[in-house]
Amino acid sequence: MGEREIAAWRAYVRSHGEISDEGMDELESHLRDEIDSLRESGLSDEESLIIAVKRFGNASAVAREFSKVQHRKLWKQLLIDPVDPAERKRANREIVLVSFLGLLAAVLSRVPEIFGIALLGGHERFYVRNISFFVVPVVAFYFVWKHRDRPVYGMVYFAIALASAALANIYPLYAAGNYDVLIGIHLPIAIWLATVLLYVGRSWRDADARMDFVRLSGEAAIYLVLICCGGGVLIATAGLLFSAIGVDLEIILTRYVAIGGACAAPVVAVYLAYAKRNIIENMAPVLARIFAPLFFILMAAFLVVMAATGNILEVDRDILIGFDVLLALVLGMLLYTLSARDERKDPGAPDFINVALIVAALAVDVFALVAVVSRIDAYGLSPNKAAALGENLMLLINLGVSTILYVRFLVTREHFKALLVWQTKYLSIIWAWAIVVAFLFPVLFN
Amino acid sequence: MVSKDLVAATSTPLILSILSTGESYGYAIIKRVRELSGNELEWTDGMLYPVLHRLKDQGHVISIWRTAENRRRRKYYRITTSGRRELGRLREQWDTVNSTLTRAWDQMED
Repeated sequence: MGEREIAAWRAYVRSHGEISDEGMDELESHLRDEIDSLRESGLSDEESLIIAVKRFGNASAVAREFSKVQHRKLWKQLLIDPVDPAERKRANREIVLVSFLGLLAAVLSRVPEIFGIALLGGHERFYVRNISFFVVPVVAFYFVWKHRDRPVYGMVYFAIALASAALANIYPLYAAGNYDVLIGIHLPIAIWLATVLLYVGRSWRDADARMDFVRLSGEAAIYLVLICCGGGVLIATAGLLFSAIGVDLEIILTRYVAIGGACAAPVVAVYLAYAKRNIIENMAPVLARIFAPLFFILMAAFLVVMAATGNILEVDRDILIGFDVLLALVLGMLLYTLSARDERKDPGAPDFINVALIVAALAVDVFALVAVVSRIDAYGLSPNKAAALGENLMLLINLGVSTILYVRFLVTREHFKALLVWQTKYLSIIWAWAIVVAFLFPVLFN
Repeated sequence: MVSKDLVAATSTPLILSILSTGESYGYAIIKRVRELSGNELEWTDGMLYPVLHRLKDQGHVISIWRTAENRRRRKYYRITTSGRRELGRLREQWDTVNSTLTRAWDQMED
């Protein structure tokens, strides 16, 4: 009976103030009681619903009243502190597990040293190549533990990760070391994207499920950055304190604490993103909204200056990577503003900013592409240039189709969903490309 | 029509009084107030729930989610010992106000 209408009402009231899930549950049960009593008095389902919603009153006034009481509570909820005893016990167990996994990750990062592969002993490349595998096992274990009900996906995932690790280190072509940086960049991307299997299980093809995973990734990344900042402060303070009493901790701090901490941080970040996904507003879309116009200005200024001075894009490897990072950021901003957008809402200023951003990025991408192609033309094809070319092409297609879909949405005010579906489907292509670069490139270019 | 200020002032003692006869939930409390007032007092949910939540924060009531016979989940409120003490205090104050007003009006009629 009117489940859809009730869900819409719920979302509507909620959007007017800071009402917790529990508060919303309570208001919903109230609305349902009202509907029931109206129906008992002889009204139809539809009439009951309409009158009950009407009686409920002005949503923004109600939400405001709620927010007044709940402000304090919402802040409190930022700490993960469930009230229910069973729930609390479970939460405590989880914290113990996450701490243990973090510790395990720190220890794992020391394992290669036992076999004589020290980070500062000329084996940097080994670490670059294997950067994903210090973190993957513990983060994956956490996901598997979180979704104990579907262990098959966990096993498949572990098998894939294990096979990749073995391949990257045993197969002579990869282990030789010429492709370490390419593997070091692309393998983590591939492995992280595959983590969607652990997160949503069977529905990994579904656009909403993928979007959910994208959200989790964004939040986890933000927590990771915050934790690393905190860690940096901690390490700097420790160094300062001990140097005051004449003890030099630099080696211990950089070798053990910093690296161990960096390996332990991802699982904690994922845990936090998980635990708080229902509690607080997502940060990634907020940042995306702040930076989308700024990045648009940056790119527009760049294009204008380039046109005005007539300077041609001069590219070396670093600049190419810089362009790829810029375009990937634009894609990320687009993804996160889309993820937080209410599909039913009409187009507004943020949408126009997004379109402007995409179009500017497209123009920049075209210039970068031309530069890459001319460089390939002049110096021949190398794995790094081929990777840059592929990445630019991939972004070009993504941004091009996004522009078309976005403009169609702005004009027709319909089919917003198509944009989401396109973006989430594209994750598969990014994944496939990362695999190709990490594992096929060394073979192709040999 | 009872003024908004007066409704706000009486909400806490009324809620605590209703809960002191047994646990109840939001919708039923509003219904009970309507009955007790002979349809004169019509509380809104936007007014009731914030008061209930504040009383919970203050420890005068506790809340429990229960599943009713129709599988519907409802949040029930139960008065605590401190809530009963609070009700006692409020009752004294209201008795004072009440008797003062009554006496004053009695004199008017004389």
